[in-house]
Amino acid sequence: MRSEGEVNHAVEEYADMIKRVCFYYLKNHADTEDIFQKVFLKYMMHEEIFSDGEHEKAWMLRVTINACKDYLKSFFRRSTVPLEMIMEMEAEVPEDHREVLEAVLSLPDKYKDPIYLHYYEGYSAAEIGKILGKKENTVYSLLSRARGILKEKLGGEGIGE
Amino acid sequence: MANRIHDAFDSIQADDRLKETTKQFIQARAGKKSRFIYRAAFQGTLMFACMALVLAAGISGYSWIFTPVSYVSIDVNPSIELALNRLDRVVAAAAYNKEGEEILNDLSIKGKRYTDAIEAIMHDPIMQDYLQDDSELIFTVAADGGRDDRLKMEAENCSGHMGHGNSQSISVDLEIVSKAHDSGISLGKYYAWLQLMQYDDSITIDQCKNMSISKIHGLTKVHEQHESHDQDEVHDQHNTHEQPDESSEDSLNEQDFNDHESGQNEEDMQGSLNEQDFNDHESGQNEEDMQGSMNEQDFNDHESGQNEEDVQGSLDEQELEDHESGQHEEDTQGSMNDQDENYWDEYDASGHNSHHYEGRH
Repeated sequence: MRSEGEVNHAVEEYADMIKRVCFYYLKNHADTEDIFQKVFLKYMMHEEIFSDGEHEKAWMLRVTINACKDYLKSFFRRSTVPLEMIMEMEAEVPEDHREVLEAVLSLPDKYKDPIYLHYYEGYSAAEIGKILGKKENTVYSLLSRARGILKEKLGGEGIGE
Repeated sequence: MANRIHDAFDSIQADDRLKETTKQFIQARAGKKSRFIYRAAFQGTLMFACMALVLAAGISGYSWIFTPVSYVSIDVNPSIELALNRLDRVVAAAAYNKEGEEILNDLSIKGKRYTDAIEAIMHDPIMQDYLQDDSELIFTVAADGGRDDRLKMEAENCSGHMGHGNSQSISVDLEIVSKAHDSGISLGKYYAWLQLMQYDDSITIDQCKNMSISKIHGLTKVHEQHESHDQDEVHDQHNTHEQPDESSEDSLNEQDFNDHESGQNEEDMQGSLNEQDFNDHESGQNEEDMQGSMNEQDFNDHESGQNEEDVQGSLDEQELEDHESGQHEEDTQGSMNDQDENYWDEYDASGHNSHHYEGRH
């Protein structure tokens, strides 16, 4: 079990990243808080020593994505979340970024992880493949299809690699 | 565009409040590892317990609904047996011969109330063919205590049953059901065979299978007649010893009473006294036969309540009447046992028991 200090440090370091993943998965505050607690509790319980910071980050990402997916799958979430809560987090996004985020959020679920990991976290297709448990070529095609959709939505501006 | 996506995501940041609550949560949880594990284990157990409960409820509910607890067998020539659950609904209908199968093929009576099922069977055109005037229609009911009387009464009230003159219903022990099923014949026939066995054990169940119920009853009747001729003496003695003083007194009283009141002759009353079988009345046997056959049958008859019309069944009433009328108290005095024996002797000697009464009066 990790010490409190370690966990607090991890919270400071990864909170933003986890929040972003939660954002594009869950889109509301209460659920995000639940996920935070779950992820850091797991982190605290996790005995394995990470080989480096990248390893830890990737572990965090994977655990967060799993936690979000589990949460979405869970019976209570499916049957109790009121509709008006779903989009509440978008309201706090600054005006100028909202269009892009809305476009990303409207993507089918399978594209969101690669888009986020590639464009924000800067992972390569090979790394994304490792994190998501997909083949590298699958990640390439997911990314290119997602780009196609985003281009259409955001008015044909070129999206760089 | 790449930058736009990056910037857009960058604008999302965990606020301090979120970080703080998470830290507090972790703090609160630190050192409670065991509880966490317990909770996970507990959830699993809870889920398992719930599933087990639902499963158990399902199984017991299923068996509650689908376990037969009572049986109604309908025998004419077609032999049909209905198995009823606790709610008196038909859970299974079995035919024990070809004729029965023909009838059941056309009907779907599963799940119906058994009275409806009986009505449906009775009104089936194939069944109607068998319900001729000379055929017997026998309902045999096997159920646990408390249920059998009601089942029998309701079966009797069914119009099919009422419309057929030559019909009767019998209630038997539940134990007979399994024996009957082991032998592959219906309850009613098995019971009829048991009765026949008392007189003639050369007839096997297999032979019974192919007989109609009226035939089995007919055989029984023939044997009853023979038997009663042979055993008159034995039965008479048996009767005298068995019958308690009081009841003989009552019976005699009642006979006296009827002699005076209605002028009914003694022979008829004698028949009633001995709790004669329904069939005996029908077949018009003479009084000697009737008298002889009382020993085994009176119990069965009594149980099934066939002889409602019998005077013996309503002894108490008649006793009351006797007292009310106040006519016969003198007659009952004296040694009843002696009278009884005299009476039987006389009866045997003369074949006509009216002598006895003439003597007494």
